[in-house]
Amino acid sequence: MREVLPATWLFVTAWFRPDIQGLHHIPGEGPVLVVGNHTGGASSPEVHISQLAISTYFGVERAHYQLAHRMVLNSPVGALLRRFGTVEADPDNAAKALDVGAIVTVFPGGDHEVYRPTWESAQIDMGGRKGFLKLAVEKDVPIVPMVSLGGQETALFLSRGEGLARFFGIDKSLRLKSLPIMIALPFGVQVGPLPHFPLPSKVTIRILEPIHLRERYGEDPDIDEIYADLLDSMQETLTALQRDRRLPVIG
Amino acid sequence: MRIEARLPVAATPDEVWPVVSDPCVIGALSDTFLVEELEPGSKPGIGTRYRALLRVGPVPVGGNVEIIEFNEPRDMAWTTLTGVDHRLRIRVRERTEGGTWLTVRFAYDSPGLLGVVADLASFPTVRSAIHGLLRQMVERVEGDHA
Repeated sequence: MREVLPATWLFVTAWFRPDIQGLHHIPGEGPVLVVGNHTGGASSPEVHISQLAISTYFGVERAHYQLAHRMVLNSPVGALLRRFGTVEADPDNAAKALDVGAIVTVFPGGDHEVYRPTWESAQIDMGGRKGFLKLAVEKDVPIVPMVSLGGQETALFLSRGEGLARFFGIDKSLRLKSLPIMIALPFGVQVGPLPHFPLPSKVTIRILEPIHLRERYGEDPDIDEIYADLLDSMQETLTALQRDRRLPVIG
Repeated sequence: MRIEARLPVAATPDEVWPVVSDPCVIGALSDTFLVEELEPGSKPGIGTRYRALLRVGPVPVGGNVEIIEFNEPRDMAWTTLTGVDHRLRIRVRERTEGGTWLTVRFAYDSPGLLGVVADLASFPTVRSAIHGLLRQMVERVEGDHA
């Protein structure tokens, strides 16, 4: 990773012109769960940008894992992603990573959020998934919210295609709740969770202050309350980022 | 990549040294350098460690560094322990015509062929940061001893 990092960071910086704010909110040591909103379909620029930015900022010595859907890791880029610390989204994997003091980044919205229509770009929608909070409480690790904007403009996402996913049964067979419909490079109209060539949309990422769950919510935190508060603060930030954005793609 | 910048200072080496030998003072001089102590309260000297980052692009780049040379009032150098490899050296030399020559050398290397491309791309920004840092050091010393 040390060898690949400078060039990949250069490429990502040139293509997406990322604006990354608040990296210092991530603790320099110890386990931490970074929780992000998911954007940009299979290309998910915020995933790569945050991975590279965190590794650049802390150095590759700071262990950092990202949780991803099994299908992503089985794709042709899976081997490269594994080199950068991407592991299958599974509570046991996340728990093991936290046990060794790593930064673990999770995008709870998964395929539900990542394929939301482009006009819902400024909405946080994690689909009610709260497993990550149970893990954070169980492991007593701080949560660091990470809000990104711009990924949904790398293509024109038209529909999640959840009805299609149910019709073809892939919601059960592949654990995919979406069969997205989008207009993207290079194929034009595209159906299914296929990779696309992302437009060079400016991506803004704002990392918020860490939340120490037991300090804020007491010894026996209410998961629903934390979830509601977390979504509120992330939505407020995303709305502010959207307000500052002058033009789609250009930023 | 290697960058060297040198400027005369209207002050003696002993007057220059306190400003250029403490990494935290260096960090406070410039917006492009971020330096913080790893062991709060430690004094600069061989083996003292800091977290040193340089603003290049959207994310500050650097890592943990350790002072490897501390020759009062002549040389201070640090090298990286973790993060992106770099070395910083500051030389303080008396000028025969009076005053001091202050030299900053900064070297950094990224591994691999693509790393060279990344280094070349960042070179103008890094060079500008190093020259800016040197100017700020000189202004600070001359301001203190005006």
